[in-house]
Amino acid sequence: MIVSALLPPEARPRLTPFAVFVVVAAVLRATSALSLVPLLGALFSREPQGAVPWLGLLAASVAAGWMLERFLVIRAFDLGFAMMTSMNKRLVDHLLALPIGWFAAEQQALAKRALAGAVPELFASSVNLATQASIALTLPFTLAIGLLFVAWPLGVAALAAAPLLLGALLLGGRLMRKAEADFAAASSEAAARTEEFARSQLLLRAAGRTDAEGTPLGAALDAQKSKGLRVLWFTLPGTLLFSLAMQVSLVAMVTVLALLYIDGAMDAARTVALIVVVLRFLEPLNTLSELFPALESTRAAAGRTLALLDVPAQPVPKQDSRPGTPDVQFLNVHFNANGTPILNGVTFTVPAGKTTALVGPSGSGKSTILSLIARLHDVSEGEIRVAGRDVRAYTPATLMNQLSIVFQNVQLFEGGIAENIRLARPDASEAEWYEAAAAAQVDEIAERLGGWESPVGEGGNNLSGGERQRVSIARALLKNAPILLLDEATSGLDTLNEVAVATALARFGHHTTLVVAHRIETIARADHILFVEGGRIVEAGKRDDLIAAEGRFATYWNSRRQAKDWALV
Amino acid sequence: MGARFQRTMMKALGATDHVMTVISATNLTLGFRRIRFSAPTMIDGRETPTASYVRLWAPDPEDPAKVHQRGYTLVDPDAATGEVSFDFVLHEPMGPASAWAAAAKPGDTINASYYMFQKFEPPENPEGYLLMGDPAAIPAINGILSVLPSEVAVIVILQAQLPGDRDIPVTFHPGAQVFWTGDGTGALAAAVPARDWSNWYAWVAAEHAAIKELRATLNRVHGFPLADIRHTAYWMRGKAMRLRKETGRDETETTAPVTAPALPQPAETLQKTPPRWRSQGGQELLASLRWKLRAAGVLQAVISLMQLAPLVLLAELGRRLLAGEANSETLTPLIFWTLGLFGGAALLSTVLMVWLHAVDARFGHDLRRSVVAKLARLPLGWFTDRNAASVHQAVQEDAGRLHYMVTHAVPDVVAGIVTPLAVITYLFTVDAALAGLLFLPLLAFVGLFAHMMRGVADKLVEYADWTKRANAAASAFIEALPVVRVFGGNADAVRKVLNGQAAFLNGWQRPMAGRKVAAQLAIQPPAFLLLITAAGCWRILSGAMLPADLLPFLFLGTAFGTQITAVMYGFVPMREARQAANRIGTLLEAPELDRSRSLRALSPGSLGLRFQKVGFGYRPRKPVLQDIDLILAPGTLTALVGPSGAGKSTLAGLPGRFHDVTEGAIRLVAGETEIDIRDINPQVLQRTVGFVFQDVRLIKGTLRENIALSRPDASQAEIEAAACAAHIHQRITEAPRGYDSIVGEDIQLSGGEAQRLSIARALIADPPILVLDEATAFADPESEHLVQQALGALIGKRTVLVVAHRLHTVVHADRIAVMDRGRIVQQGTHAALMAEPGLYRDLWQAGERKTS
Ligand SMILES: Cc1cc2nc3c(=O)[nH]c(=O)nc-3n(C[C@H](O)[C@H](O)[C@H](O)COP(=O)(O)OP(=O)(O)OC[C@H]3O[C@@H](n4cnc5c(N)ncnc54)[C@H](O)[C@@H]3O)c2cc1C
Repeated sequence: MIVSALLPPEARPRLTPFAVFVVVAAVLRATSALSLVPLLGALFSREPQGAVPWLGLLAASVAAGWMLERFLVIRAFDLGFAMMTSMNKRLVDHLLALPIGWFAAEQQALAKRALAGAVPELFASSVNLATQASIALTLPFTLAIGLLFVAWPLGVAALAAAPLLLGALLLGGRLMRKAEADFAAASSEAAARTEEFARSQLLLRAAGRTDAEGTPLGAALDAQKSKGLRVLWFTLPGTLLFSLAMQVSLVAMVTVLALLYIDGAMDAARTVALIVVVLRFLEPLNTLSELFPALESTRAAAGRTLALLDVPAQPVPKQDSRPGTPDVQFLNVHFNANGTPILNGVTFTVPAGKTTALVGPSGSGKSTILSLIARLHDVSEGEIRVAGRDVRAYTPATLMNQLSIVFQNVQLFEGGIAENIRLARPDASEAEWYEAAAAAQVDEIAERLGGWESPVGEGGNNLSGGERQRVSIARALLKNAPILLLDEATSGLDTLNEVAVATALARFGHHTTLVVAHRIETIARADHILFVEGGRIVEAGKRDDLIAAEGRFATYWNSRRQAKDWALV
Repeated sequence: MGARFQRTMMKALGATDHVMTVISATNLTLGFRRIRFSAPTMIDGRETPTASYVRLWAPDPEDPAKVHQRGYTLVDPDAATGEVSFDFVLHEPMGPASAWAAAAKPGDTINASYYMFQKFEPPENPEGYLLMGDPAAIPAINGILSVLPSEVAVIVILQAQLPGDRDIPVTFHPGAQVFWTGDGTGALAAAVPARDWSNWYAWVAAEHAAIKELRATLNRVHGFPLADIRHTAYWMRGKAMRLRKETGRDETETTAPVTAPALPQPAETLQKTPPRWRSQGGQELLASLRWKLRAAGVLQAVISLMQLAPLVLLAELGRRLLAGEANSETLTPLIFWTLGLFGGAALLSTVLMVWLHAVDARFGHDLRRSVVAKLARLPLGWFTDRNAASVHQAVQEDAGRLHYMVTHAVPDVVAGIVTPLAVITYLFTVDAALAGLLFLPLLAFVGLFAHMMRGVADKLVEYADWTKRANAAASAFIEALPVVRVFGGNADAVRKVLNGQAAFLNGWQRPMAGRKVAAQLAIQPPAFLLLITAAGCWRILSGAMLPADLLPFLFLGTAFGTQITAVMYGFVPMREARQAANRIGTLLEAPELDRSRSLRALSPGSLGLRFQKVGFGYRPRKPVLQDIDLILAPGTLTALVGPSGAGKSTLAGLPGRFHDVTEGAIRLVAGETEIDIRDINPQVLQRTVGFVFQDVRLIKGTLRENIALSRPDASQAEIEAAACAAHIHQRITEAPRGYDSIVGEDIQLSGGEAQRLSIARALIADPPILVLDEATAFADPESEHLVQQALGALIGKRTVLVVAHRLHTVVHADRIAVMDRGRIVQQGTHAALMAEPGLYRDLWQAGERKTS
């Protein structure tokens, strides 16, 4: 099931012949084992020469088995390779279709692991594991069926034992995994507490609390210790179950043989030969148990990859729409993230050519409003219109062409500063992009880092939050789309950043602008103010009118004014 | 064009060799020749680790069809031009490589294959580096010198073999002392000066015998743990290098007898305490486990034998059957014995497992406890991001590895060794000839495997390279995805790399797949079955063996191959565990704050603080702070301002003993008396000097616990008063469970709220001296004014040191200290500082200009 889901559709039909060949390979191995019965029978008789033809059969079946298995491995290689190339493509395509808002840090890590880690791992195990494991799985059954014809009571015992042994293997494995997961959970908790203890040293020492006793840390350490012993209840059966099952099966089958012999139903040579066959019957199960951890981790890798492909993609219309006048409208928009409501019925219009400011306490939903316009997520209810049409009616390219975006958690990719800006309009002339960069005060960053090609680091690491925002502003200036969405940075603010924001707002003076504003200078520039609180627009209007109304905005405005001129002591 | 053609040709030929063309050759000294090559296929943009080398295929002077493999170190590889140099020692007698080099002229070509396992990977922050070698090692030593940070101590000891050797250029390093010694096998070993080498790292390469002696001397005389010596034999006196023998790194060399060389001074006279290396900590850590693990190993060996015994009994049963001696009386005891042995083994297994888990639980617990205790003793300045990562590594990953080793790896490895050993011993006693044959499939396996591994070194390097590129491309793609989507880029780059990786794997593995299966099939049961029956038939038919003797082979011999190869995998976790123990050991050995004299208590009253000629640096010779003289009079507010990187935060941390000063002293001033902070009991000091940072730490617990952290017995009224003063009380009462709400679960605090909570906490702690770092840059503009008011309440009448990033917030400070590059360059009030030309006025004016 998992296997066929991993494969590209055109390779799936190749699975059936593969399975058939696996069965044939198992039959060949079974044949070689069963040929021991007449072989040893003859060898232990008075006429040992009679063994030679059977030896021929054994040699032939082993040799044929080798050839077939070699062929199978190469087949598995082909399938694995097909899987790898198609999976790479599917993953990349799928990632390109997911809502942008999905890419939180955690998810990013997930996607990276799937793309660069899981796919090669799946390939490796399809080459190294698939054939061995599938033969080892089939062999006990083919041998048991074969035994039915040679010594039916033994065959029956084997047929009964095979599923039991597999069950023991699976159950034991599961118990082990449970034990390990439990232990890992307790260890993680202890580790997390220890790390917290390390991080909070300043605090804890200032408080005179350097002893772990009686703290959550001490409790976690003790819990970890007792858990370490408690996991035994799963570890013990986990490791013993399978080997006990193997031993019991062996003894039981040998006893069956002994009884058959004592009954006189079988001669000595045959009995001995069948004991050998019984051992051969158990061997593949041992192989399976050795492959088990690798199989488990392959399954986990496959699970991760498929889980990523299961994340719903964002629907894209078949037909594009033509944008009209560049305004933005929210019509009774609701938005929930993971079940918690963020926006509760937001309705407003950002008129074309005007600057509108979103103001309000942190966590009120201002940034969410901007991200919904750019379709980083889709609304839960209601409608957002950009340039007269529902955002979902545009193809992504058309929608993005309407928008210049400056968001808080600015995304930079590893590469030069220039490269990061140029991306906004690859066909811009040298003069154009330089002008945009300078206007956004990025030239100062380039100077500090030693040139326009200086790397910004992974995710823009080498830059402060404010600097990243400046790069982002440069991008917006260069792109110069009809609508500007600007989410002013709250942390890492510096003077140059303020200048950059002011420049952007001035340049976009005649464009439609929606800005999440924190600084009073920014708020003052807006034609229109929307005060957001608790996921709703609670006040809207011109600044002076709102101040005169002495409502929520007025309080906010006054406290911000006071904060600006504050000095210690 | 030419280069690309060449590369394509090479690839088409399936060769991993690279052609290098001589561009120029210069004799740096009489016996040391530098040759620059163009090697575009080899130097193709991948990373070249320090001191990596190639296998050079030097033509045989007599027989042009023969080539000799010689190791040479890459010098100045230039990825952009695809050029690289090699330095050749022109020794007498010459060998193929040196003879070729001596005669090389521009336009000549030579083949080389890339090899880069020779990495320079010292442990973290050794005390210093000892680099030793003869002229052949100078290229590598030069490479190392160029990557060592400039402030570390380095001792270089080089051996001159020819008169001109002392003129061979050695890369300059500011902290390095370079010594030369004369020729002779023992010369290097004798040249190691006696001193305290604790925590030094040694990198040595020279002639085989010289290295052997040097390594033994370093280890036995100077105390270097073997793990802290990286040694390589580069050549052998009087012997031409043989093919694939040039690395000569043989770990068993240590047992070679050594004659202690005459040293300049006997080491004992200098060292009062034996030298100590941080890496030793790990071994000591494991020492406590050693006998237990040994006992567990013995028990596991017994268990393994008990599990095998029934198979031997089965063989015996078969023998009786065949001999016609079998009836229920003889069979029943055998079956009962079998059952008994299996049962006994299971029982013992259970006992072993329970015991090992108990040992592990105890060991892990003690380990974690000692890490925690250690953390509480480290200087606060130790807790950087990087060290936080090492704590994570220790308690999360490394502890897990040790757990795995104790509970799984040891029994696995023992079982993996004992079982095949017992099997083969037993089978030898049954029929030696047939038992000997069992090694045939193993030989076939080894042969096929070796054949398969040929050229794999290069492929592995290439594969590692592809993995790295694929990882990087995937990361870059996913990180840039939001941008790409917003700006309508595409995913071509990542597709290209991923497809390239797939194509590489295909091209590499497909031709190998067949051989790989062959190797695997050779050691799987069917191969052994066929071998045993065929050889057995032959021996029985020829009368050399009794038929019944075949049974033990059929019962025990078929799994021999898989058992023996399984052992190989068991060792990996053991090695990982040892490395883990080393890392934890290193953490436990980190230098602690010196508390030997920190005994004094303080009497209550207002306090001031005085920095007197304070200097500080993380490493010797690299001062971060110098000549700091600053007085914080009781009840005043002093501000530290200056460009970023000036050392403001480092200075602000010193009063809390985040680090101890390396020069001068910091004193608490109480009236007439002054006390060095190092003399004060650390707990007392920490209650005296309080810190409020922008980056607020909340512990997992209730709001009440967070506020009353320093005084868990504070009354509700006190807590509420503090919360009110910090403007956070209202927010708390709005939370679902008020003061009992759990941070992060019942209530999510915004940046500004967390900050106000930490101010409330500081109010409860009520330290007479307060340090504010970055506390005036606000995480959350919406509640900025509330934080400001809270800070105002906190400052009150305390003695305050504030690191200020916005100048206008401290214009009213009693004293402003302007810092630049680790020094205080100006001091005074705002008005006084504005009145004189200087950094302060410049900074102020720059700020004004930007905003207007
Ligand atoms: C990892 C590694 C990196 C190396 N890097 C360099 C390098 O950058 N530059 C460099 O010059 N060498 C380097 N060497 C050493 C070099 O590989 C050997 O010296 C090699 O044996 C020289 O080959 P040959 O053909 O000239 O002499 P061979 O045919 O090996 O030997 C001929 C004779 O010369 C003697 N002899 C060999 N080497 C030396 C020597 N260095 N000094 C004195 N007598 C010697 C031998 O004992 C023998 O009698 C490196 C070796 C290794 C393992």
